[in-house]
Amino acid sequence: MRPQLRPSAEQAKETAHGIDYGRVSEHPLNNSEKSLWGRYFVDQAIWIEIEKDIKRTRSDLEFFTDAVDPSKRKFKDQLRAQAEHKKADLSGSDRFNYIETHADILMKILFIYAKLNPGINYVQGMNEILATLYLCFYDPTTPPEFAQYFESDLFFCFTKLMSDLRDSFLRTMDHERSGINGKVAEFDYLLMNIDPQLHTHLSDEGLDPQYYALRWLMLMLSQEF
Amino acid sequence: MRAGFTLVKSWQEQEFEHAQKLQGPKPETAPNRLLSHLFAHPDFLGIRQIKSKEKTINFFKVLNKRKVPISMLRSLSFRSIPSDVKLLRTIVWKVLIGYLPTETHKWEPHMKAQQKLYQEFE
Repeated sequence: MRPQLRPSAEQAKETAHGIDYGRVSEHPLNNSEKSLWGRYFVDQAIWIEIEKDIKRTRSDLEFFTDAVDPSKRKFKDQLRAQAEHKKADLSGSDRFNYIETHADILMKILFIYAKLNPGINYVQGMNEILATLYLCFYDPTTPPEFAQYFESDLFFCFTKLMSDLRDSFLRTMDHERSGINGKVAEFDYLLMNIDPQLHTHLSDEGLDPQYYALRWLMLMLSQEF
Repeated sequence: MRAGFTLVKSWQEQEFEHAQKLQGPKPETAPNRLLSHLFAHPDFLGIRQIKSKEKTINFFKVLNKRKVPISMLRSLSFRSIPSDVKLLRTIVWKVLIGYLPTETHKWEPHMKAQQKLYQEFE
């Protein structure tokens, strides 16, 4: 899953487009998009961002830092070490005997989604939606013949869900009607008509719907409500 | 008197007995293996409340078709999906979001194909 550290000879040839500056273009400090090193650094940046957010996702539950394989749940010390450190910072036996946790599956899915949808990439908040979906789908009583589809089912359902939600996640759509500001404005309009008293009270207190409704709508009430 | 008193069943027990009599679709009539697993789920057989059991059976009936009537499933789900059998929720979710096809016999080949596609991304 992790991006390759060194481009293979074949890939290097491909990026060089037959011209013999393959060596030069594959210098690690070359930050052009075509350079494999450049791509590696971009991937790394996505990965670091996802990992940072996943560590904070639903940290009220111990569920996500627990091992996927039930027989490995007894290694509490190691699982704690994994939860407290970044994967890259683990050392020695902790690194060598890495135990796959539920959080790793979340990261993997978000990373694949970001790579397949470069127009959207990864945006903060997706982690919360995916985590909720994960909790909804995860069922330890599923027989193995169907449990094997868990991860791919989750990925494609997340993709489906995001295709409805993507406009709220795109900065460029912020001021369109389908963008997040448009949705918040619609919510505000509905509230004004359905409960004018509450609406007046909120606006008298200077509480802009941006402060509360934005998260509700963007994250489909998955984080707080 | 005391001995006779213990013979009287509590209303919870009576309700459970009544709930047990309620039958869902037979697992062998299910259009695919996932649904037959769902219909025979131990969590379903263990439901103690009549209301929850009735609700769950309604969902089972809507799913137990060659082609799931999606608008029916949607209106049924609008007032929440019973969570006594967790598997039901995950299945209904996948159908409503449009991931699982409405044709129930296509579920397994579909999941298999999607899994293969996903493994290529990995």
